[in-house]
Amino acid sequence: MTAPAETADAITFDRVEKRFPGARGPARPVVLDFNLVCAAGETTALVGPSGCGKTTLLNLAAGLLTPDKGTITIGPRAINGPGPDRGVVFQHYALFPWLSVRRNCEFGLAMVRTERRRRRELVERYLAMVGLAPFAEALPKALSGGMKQRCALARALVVGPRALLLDEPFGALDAITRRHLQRELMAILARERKTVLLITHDLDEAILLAHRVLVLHGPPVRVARDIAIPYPFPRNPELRDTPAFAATRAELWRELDHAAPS
Amino acid sequence: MNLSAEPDTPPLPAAEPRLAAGGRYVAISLLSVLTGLLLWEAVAAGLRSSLLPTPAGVVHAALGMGVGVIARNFAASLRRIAIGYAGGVLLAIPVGLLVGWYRGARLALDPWIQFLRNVPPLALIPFVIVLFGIGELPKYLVIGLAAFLPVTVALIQGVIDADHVLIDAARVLGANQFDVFLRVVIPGAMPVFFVGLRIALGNCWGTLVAAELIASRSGLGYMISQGELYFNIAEIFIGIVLIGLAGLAMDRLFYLFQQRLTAWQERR
Repeated sequence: MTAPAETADAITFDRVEKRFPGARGPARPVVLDFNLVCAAGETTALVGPSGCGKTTLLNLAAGLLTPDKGTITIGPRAINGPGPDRGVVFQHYALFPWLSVRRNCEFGLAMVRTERRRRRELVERYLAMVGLAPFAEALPKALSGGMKQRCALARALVVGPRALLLDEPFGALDAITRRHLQRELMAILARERKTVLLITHDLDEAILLAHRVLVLHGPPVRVARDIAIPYPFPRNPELRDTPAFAATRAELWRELDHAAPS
Repeated sequence: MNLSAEPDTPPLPAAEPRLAAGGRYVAISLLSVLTGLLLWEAVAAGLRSSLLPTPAGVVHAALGMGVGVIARNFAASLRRIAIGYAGGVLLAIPVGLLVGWYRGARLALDPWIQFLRNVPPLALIPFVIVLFGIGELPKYLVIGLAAFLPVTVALIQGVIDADHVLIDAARVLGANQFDVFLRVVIPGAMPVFFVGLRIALGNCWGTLVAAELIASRSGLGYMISQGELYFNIAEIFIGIVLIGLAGLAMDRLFYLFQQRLTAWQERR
């Protein structure tokens, strides 16, 4: 297999600050003087207790939120709003229920005014990649949870983003479906190099999919632990049963237990 | 590369059984109507009162009045409904969408809408009669208002309740504010818009008949008031039955439309 073309860009948080107005009193900082470099083409998993600020980081990178201070860049470009260079997959799919699978996937291409024939072509390709080609004309309500998330993944990929931002993408799925989708995501990332930010509560998923796992504490959010996961890709799910994997999992748990509010 | 298929299968829609079920539902409804008519006939025949005609008596009276007269009155009512309703809805669409979307517009117009919403259009009839006489214009106005308010209120709510996750999903796919409004907010507001349309239709019939009872020389409401004046109970019944049937037919029509246009909704 030839090396995939360079299609990824690093994501850099540089002294980022984000406050949310509290019910009363001054605005509470959720992100404060935060620095992070997610290397190009790598998957960085973010784990941490609920409310620690990891989703805020993801929304900042997506451009759905604007930082109060500091900058976030993707490759050489500063982020100031959503853009087709970053694909986002939400936990609860967020498919447009009134559009067919195909039209959901065409949405982003229509926004960037892709020519119709090219649009069809790209959508066919990505629907086939996630195994949804036979369901192209189905409405989301006719799909199972796993299929909905495949559709959401195809919809994010089809515009050719340089980074993928995944917010608990498989959190709502059953264990079997989740396992399948994890493997498929790995296969896709082997073919198309992307910088991935993955929020997950599933430590096995984090270790299996990521080059690097960050344990976050907060708010304000900070990196409590930064663990490189050395296994080469593509990884076999059986890795979970090895002692080294178990040791990493235990190490992450210790850090998370430490963060849990008692 | 085709990646392994997922073990869980999608719930594919079963077209044929549903059609069969549809036939059964229609049969139940028809049976219910027939039973009602028979009961009416039995009760009326048993009572032998001049105050309660039998269904057959009503049909007989209708033929006696002349189909032309009834049709003219029916047409007059339908025209008022059509014009008033269409006008009210056409005005409600932009107003509802804009008031829902722009906070400023909402703050400015909401008190007015809520104020008017709680005044039954019927209460305005005497006023518009004083203002415009008993011609067609005042009827269009009150019927238009009866249609305008529920549709506006429904649309405002539909726009406000737009799914924020879907809006975010559209934004990260490159949608600007206008795209979001057109492709996410409006389709998302469709179901509640249809609810508004159907409520408005019922409102319009109520308002129309009241207007015709009070001040009119044609229409089903006029027919009913004539029946009262000349103690022609059958004529009153003809009016009631026709109003009910027209309302029912329109509502069914809307329902079909609604099913078509909001087929994407997950129904339990």
